[in-house]
Amino acid sequence: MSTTDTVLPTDTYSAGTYTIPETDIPDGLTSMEIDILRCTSADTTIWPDSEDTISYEFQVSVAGVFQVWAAGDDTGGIHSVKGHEVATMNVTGELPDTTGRQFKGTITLGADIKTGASVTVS
Amino acid sequence: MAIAPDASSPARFNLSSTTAAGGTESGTSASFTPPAGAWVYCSACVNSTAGATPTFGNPTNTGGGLGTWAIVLSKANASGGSSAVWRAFVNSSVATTVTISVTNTGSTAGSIPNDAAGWVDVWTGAATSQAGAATNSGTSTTANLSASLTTTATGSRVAGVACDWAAAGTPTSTDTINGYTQTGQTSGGRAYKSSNSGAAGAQTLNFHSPGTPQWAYVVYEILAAGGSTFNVSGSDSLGLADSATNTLAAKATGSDSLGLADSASNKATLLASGSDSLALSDTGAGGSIFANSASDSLGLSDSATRTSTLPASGSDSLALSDSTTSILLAKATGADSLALTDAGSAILQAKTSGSDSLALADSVTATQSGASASDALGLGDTASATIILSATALDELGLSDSSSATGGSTPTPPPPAIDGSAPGVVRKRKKKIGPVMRDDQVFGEEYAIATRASPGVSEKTPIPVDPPKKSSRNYSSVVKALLRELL
Repeated sequence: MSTTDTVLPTDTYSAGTYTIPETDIPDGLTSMEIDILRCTSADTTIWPDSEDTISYEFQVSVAGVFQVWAAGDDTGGIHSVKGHEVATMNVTGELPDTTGRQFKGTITLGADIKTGASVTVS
Repeated sequence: MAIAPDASSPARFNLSSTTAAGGTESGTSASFTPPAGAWVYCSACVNSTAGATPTFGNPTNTGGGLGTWAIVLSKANASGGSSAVWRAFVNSSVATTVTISVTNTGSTAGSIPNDAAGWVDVWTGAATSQAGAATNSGTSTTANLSASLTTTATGSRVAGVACDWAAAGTPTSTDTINGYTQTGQTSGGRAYKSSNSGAAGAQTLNFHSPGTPQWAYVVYEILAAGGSTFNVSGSDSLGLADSATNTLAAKATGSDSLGLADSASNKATLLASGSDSLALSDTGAGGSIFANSASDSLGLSDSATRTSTLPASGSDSLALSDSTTSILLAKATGADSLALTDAGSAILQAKTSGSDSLALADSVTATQSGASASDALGLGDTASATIILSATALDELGLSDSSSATGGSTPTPPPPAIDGSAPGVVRKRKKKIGPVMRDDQVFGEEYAIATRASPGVSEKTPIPVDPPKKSSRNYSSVVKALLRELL
């Protein structure tokens, strides 16, 4: 079982910080993935400028207390790994093994950028 | 002792790929000699192919000084690249090398020398059991990634390894990192926080690629030694010392010799049973000292404001010392020997029963209180004080006070004052006088009261007698006085 929440629909956003509200994580799910759309040959309008930065910080609650789950940042433009374009700036990781969890987060754009973001728990 | 990387840790070593066993990544560290009691953590960045499911078999080592290897955690990136961490306890300090061999890496391109890397790290100050330590793993294409870990205990160290299959360049970190890159193969780094964590909670470990990475990372917690709980049995000799705010706890059984010293605001707890020799010392404020034992020889020393409690039973020898405003409390039963010393404004309380020997000494304003049954007691006070002595039957008592003080006794009411002064402490003795003789005396007034003597002697008639000797009563003088009255 997995669920995907589109926390930032694909659109052009002004520079600034966008808050992802507290969202329940179904019990029993063990991992989470954050994907933020990158520039690709298929759509060069998404986050095209290598000078523009997007950063994120996501938190997960344990016993009602939110703690940083992952944080990071990168620059725009087409990114490739050994010849293959990378479609998203992502991070996957394990979730705390408990119940009643929630996640929340922030995505900060360093400039006006077209992008989108989703959170998948599985 | 806090967790720290040990200087015996060997340098990073290269791993090489072969096509054996569905692709194998292997390599061997330089020789190193870790100290006994340390932990060895072995980390690997593996050049596994996309879709491979590597088999992270345990490392092997030479020398025989290490315990059994166990994997901490591994992470294979479905897009290529893997990380893994193992650990082994150092049973004895012996020169050793460690060999990593990861199979089923999917490598079919022939031998690729030095396409990945391994690290061996020696950590001292870590708990002998790492059970329950937190781990986390993941993948990411984020250049500047802070992977998280929620530690489970105070004083842990957070470490990790991240393998970048994209080989985007040697990673850096805001934490301490040892990184590398093998062009066209892998990049990676083993990182750890530069200091131990405080309380349990979320920590992050940073990996920063100069390009577009494809991370497979593992982060883990190393639990600190202590938490300050030691359970021992047998004929052990233990010494625990702590200078920070912690809890020191020792549980011992058998013929143990234990010493706990604490200089900060702490709580020292000592539970012991059997023929133990125990010593607790605390110089900070805010904590408490507690010992519970049988047939033990115990010493508690405290220089701060607190309550020291010592319940004991059996054939114990107990000593409590306190130099400030505190409460010293000792409860003992059986054939115990007790000594309480207090140099500040304090309350000394000793409750005993049975054949006990008690001594209380107080040099300042204090309250001292007493004992009962078959006891030999000595109380000494040199300042304003209240001396309360509850004694019954077959007791031998000695009270000394050199200044303003009040003495009382219960439950036996004191005799009426002979010279109009306040009643004092009663010293009683029934032995050796015979069935018709009873000797009561107001200590310090040097009077005796003869009761139920021969006819003609009125009861409660004060009779001057020789001054009593502290521990040996001069009954001959009483007899002589009675004879003079009769004649």
